[in-house]
Amino acid sequence: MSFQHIEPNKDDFGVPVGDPGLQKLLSRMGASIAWQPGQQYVLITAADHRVISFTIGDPRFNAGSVFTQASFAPYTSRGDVYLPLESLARSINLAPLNDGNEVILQPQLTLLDVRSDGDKTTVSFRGAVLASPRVRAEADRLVLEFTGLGSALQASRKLSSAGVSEINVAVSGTMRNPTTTVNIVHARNVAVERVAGSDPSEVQYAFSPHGEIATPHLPPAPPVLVPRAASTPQSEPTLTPAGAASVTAVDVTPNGSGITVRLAITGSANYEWHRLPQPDTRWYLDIKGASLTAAARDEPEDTDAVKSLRVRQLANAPPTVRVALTLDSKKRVDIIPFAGGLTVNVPGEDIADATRSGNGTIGSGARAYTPALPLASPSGAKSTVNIAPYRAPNPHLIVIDPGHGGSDPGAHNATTVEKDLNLDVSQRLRSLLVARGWIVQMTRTADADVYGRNASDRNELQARCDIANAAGARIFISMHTNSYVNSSPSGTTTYYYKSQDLPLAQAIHHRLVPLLGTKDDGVVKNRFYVIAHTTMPAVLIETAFLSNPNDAELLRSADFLQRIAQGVADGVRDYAGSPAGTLRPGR
Amino acid sequence: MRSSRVFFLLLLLAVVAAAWWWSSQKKQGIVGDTVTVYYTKTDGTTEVPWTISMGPARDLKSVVFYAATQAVAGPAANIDAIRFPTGTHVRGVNVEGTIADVDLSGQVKSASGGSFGESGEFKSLVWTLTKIPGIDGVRVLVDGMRLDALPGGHLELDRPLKRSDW
Repeated sequence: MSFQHIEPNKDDFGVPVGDPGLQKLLSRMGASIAWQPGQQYVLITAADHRVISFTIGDPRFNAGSVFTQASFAPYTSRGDVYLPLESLARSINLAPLNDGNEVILQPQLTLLDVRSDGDKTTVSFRGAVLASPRVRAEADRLVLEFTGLGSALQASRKLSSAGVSEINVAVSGTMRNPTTTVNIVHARNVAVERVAGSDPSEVQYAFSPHGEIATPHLPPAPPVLVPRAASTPQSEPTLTPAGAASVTAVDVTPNGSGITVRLAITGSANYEWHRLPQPDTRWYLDIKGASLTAAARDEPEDTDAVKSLRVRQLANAPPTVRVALTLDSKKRVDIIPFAGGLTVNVPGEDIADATRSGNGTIGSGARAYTPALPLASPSGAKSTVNIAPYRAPNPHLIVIDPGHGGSDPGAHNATTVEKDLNLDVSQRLRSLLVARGWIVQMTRTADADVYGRNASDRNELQARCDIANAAGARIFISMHTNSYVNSSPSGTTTYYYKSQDLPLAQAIHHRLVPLLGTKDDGVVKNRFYVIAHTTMPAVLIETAFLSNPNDAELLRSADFLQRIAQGVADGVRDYAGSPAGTLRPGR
Repeated sequence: MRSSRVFFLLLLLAVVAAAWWWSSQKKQGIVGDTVTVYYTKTDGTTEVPWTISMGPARDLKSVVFYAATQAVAGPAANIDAIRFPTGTHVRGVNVEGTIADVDLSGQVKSASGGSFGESGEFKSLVWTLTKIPGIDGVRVLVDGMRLDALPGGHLELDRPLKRSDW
């Protein structure tokens, strides 16, 4: 590999950003480089997620927030930016070596870290490229050969760590084809195991003298406030008298300019909220008949939108837990019930005409959702969210959208393709809704594109919206199955976008999650195309993760798919009643 | 005598010009040594801010470029975060009014197909850029082309994304 436009500069070389040799080198190292005319910065994204920035005219460069002096300041010439090559190379763990005729950029083994944790010793390595060493295990040593990597690491070190007594590093081969051999000497009765660390760019080995390797430390799972047992839904929702509820945890998370407060609540309770006038920056939520078993809280909040949060027990009759916010200005406050409690979300968005009060019910077995249209409460307050009235031209029609299809398979795992699952579940849902008296229209009934084969993404998504909009449907439900690049995430999420979507999303999610027994990932706002471009209350449901082994196992079960359909249908009933019964003309 | 007056007049003009230049740079509100970047936790929704150092920047476009690149690169490898597909990087940016155009490399299209990653990736990018004074929306391009949605994707990208979209 060589450079086309390289020029000597001080003790280094200047290389232009656009040089094909530089581009190829960085690509080989899993890095990318970007610059555009007029920009002060040249930015390199390294394989280990560090951003290395050079500033034109500044001899310092920044590698992962560590400033280092370069050989010379980057400069512009002939419409390109020239960078100090050797400084750049070192920042991505390449050592410039001079063999007399030319400079060779040799990839390095840069880290050898030893950590002792009680009875276990962990040895970690990191290199310029993700190294997968050749391993030779002997009775009293582990030998690792990193082909292609040189090293300037300490040649030998004596240790008194559990089971490991010595580590030797030796470099062999040539400048162009080096091999670094690491020899780890350990006691004979030691168990050795390669472990997955929290940093995927590291190679780690654990040594345990007692022959037992503890499970490698993994990052903690996202907090789950309340363990939720799988429950069987009742045929009809019932109201449970308030009085036995407890607020067991209060979890406050910054969400940008605002905060999200998750209240874990056991039992059932009625709640009401109020926004005080003049100034209307004071907002509170009372959970009636509830006791606070979590710690009370009275703290300033360091966000743009929320100045303070108080959570305390009021000695009212009935006893009440009050959550009080002092806002920076008239901000939007969303109340989102979930299976194990209530979320108070302040997204930081200013609103012009804020509703003053509202109420609802939360808890197991409680009917937590108000109907789609605002109802007057005994006090005359409106329901819990601002809802733009929607009058469906075709109030008995529900449109179901099986996500993806045809030339767009969606996500997949080894055995299952998302588009097929979505269609299967949608057909089951259609049957249930039709049996309950609804007219149902599907955006697709086979493995087919809706707009046309290989259509643009927009045309395909808009075609699904057009079906519902043109038909004047009462409700739009888009069925999906989630996936991620690793197997860690799991659970069920119900997405909404428009304010009128929220009660429908809450109703469905509240029914769906307990019935499925999946992790509750919540009712989440998101600008997904099909729910943003439909004119009626709409939701997009991600039922479970194809990429998670437990969820994937569930998704293979016909019973589970039927329960998805059942949960969604029950949620629709909670939200809208039945077409033959509660609906009035024009709704 | 007259020449010294001219000299002082010129000196005064130079001082005023320097003060104006310095003031105009400060007015942009972006001169600083750090920028706040967000990543999305693997719960899919929570945004976590972290602060990174940057070289001296005197224009909004450079700061946007820097912040967007860091947001797409994500936090250190040992942090559990939702990340853009491997290899995705920012090719360039532009600023029109309060909207930042971010041109992403084509690797962004190689997502796993689920909405989970897609949502978390773009949420962190939008949170990061709209934290910069003067920016309140993010328009996404891929390989220099405007697009309405990612292939097989879910997010609507034909309008600038804003914080209030989440």
